[in-house]
Amino acid sequence: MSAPLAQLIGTGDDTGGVVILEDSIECPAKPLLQHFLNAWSAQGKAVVLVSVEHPLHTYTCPHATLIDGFCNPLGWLGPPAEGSVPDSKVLHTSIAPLDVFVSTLNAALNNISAPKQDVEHDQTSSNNIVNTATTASSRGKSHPEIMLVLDCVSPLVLKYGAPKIIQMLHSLNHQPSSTLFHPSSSSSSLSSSSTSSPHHRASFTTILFIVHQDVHDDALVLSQMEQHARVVLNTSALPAGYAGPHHGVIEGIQKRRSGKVVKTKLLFQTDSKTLAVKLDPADILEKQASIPPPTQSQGNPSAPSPALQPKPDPAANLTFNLRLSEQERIARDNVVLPWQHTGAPSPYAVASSFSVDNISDDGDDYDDEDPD
Amino acid sequence: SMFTSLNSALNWTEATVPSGKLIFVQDCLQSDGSFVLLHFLSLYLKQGHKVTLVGFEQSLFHYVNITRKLGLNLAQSFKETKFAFVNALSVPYSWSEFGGEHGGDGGGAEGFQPFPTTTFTIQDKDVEASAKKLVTMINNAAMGVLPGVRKGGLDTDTDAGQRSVIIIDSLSVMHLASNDGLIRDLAHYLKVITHTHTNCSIVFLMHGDAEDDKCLMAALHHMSDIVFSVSSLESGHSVDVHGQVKVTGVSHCMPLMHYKIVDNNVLVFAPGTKT
Repeated sequence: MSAPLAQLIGTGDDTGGVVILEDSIECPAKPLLQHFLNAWSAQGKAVVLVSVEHPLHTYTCPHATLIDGFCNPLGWLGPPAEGSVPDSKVLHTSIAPLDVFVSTLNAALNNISAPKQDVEHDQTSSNNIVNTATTASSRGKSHPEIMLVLDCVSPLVLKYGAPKIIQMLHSLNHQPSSTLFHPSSSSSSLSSSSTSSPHHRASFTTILFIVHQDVHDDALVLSQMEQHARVVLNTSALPAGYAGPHHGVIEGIQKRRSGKVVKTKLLFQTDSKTLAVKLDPADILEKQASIPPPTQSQGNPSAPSPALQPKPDPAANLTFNLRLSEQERIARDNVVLPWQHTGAPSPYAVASSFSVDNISDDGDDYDDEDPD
Repeated sequence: SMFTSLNSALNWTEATVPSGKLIFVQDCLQSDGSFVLLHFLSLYLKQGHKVTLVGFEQSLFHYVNITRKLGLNLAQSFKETKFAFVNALSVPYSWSEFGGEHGGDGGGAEGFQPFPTTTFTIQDKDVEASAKKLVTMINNAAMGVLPGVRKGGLDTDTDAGQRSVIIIDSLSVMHLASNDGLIRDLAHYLKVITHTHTNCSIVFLMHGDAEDDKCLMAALHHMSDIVFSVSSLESGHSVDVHGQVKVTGVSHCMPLMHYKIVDNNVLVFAPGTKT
């Protein structure tokens, strides 16, 4: 796995769990999903790819178990026409009701995790899944890593609600320290039926899916899903003014087993022809943000700074005089207004025991030009 | 074809019209997006391809008059098995005056009818069944099975490579009778049809004015291959510019264009440029 990808989803003991790709219309995450598929295929990991939003042929994942939930998710189009040849490499499923969908996923999981001697038995079953991934997964590995990739989980969340889908994901995914299938244990329990007992049930090591942020009107939905995820990767558009080759930003939050939460920020660019994704550090974004935007004075070195530029004089270039001479200014300041307390009694004042003091405060709008 | 400036802006030639695409046209009250539907209608008919038009909001009389100004004769196209019309306006709901038991194919389509049409009615007690019926009808149209379109036309050697388009004007009527979930399911199956019948494209219009429909519009955006967002100018009303169009999903196309509707044409130009 490439270093940037490992940086996003973790390595070693900090792998597995639920990985969410959050995207929007401005920055779709489908190329990133393909990037993960490419990486896991290159590593020889067993992958179960489920298409819900896009047709299977838009993804490239050799040796993966393919489940088609796109072509007829609700059964509106009826059964396939007579004479049509079903694709034995693809398992078709509907998303309604949900337990049918989950059963299909569990059947694919059990088929992959079953020992090799049981593969021939499973191939005679009605599922008829050609599972080439079994060869890779059971080749000397005691804990095969099985990846479940759902191209989009938003249609399921919109139909059934976030709590139900979270429960479904939790039932499909367990931490490696819990009920992971051990090939050394009795295999006869698997050969008996396709739905094995919970005690020997295998689990998906990692579940990866896309969620569209802008499709769910309740922010609580995303929050609930993020709570149950180990890694949350959020794709967003680049800031305005960015002139590089990249197409978007990935901000990742990874929860490690030690309790530490690691945040990562990367830039990605997608090749328009091959749809290959390249990940780069996001340092260039921070460098661009630290550079102040050019001002007008920077364009002209001889111009003074804005603070030193003279302010325009409103009394200039008039046909009448608005200015005061020095004598006029002194005379105006020396005028004593009748209501101002001067300390000296007026010769016209009537002797009384009380007086009125006018003391201006901050709220008074005292105008030098119009003091009364 | 008409709207040559729109074709030029989209970098579409007569030979490279979209095929196997789900095209979503979103408009609003201030800016009517039906000119985009007329563009596809004209584009495909003038190239000799098949067109099926599902009219929820306008009558056949309206389309015949509009297309006559564009140099098209829908009655002639019907005779040549190139055009079919689904009348979803005359008997829109099962409780309509001429609907229910007395409805049926053409039963409620009174008045102007230069050629046979198919009637579609929304069953208000079971809107999902109506949506399924619409999907089946469109799926059959994609295979060339509709009044006016030769049965199996798309599968015969003579029609090899011939494309077709199904235009829905508009899905907002179905939305009013149902809910967001049903429209998402319906749009999903429209997408399935375009991927199953790769010679067929589907263009549907929806009005995106309401703030409550924001998430539904986003979902339709995600599902669609090409999106035309028709809206009014942010700066306000202008005599020379009637609105703006944002296009996504078309390579080498200006993301934002201004447009002006003249008598028989639509002029499309880059923002800030003179017509």
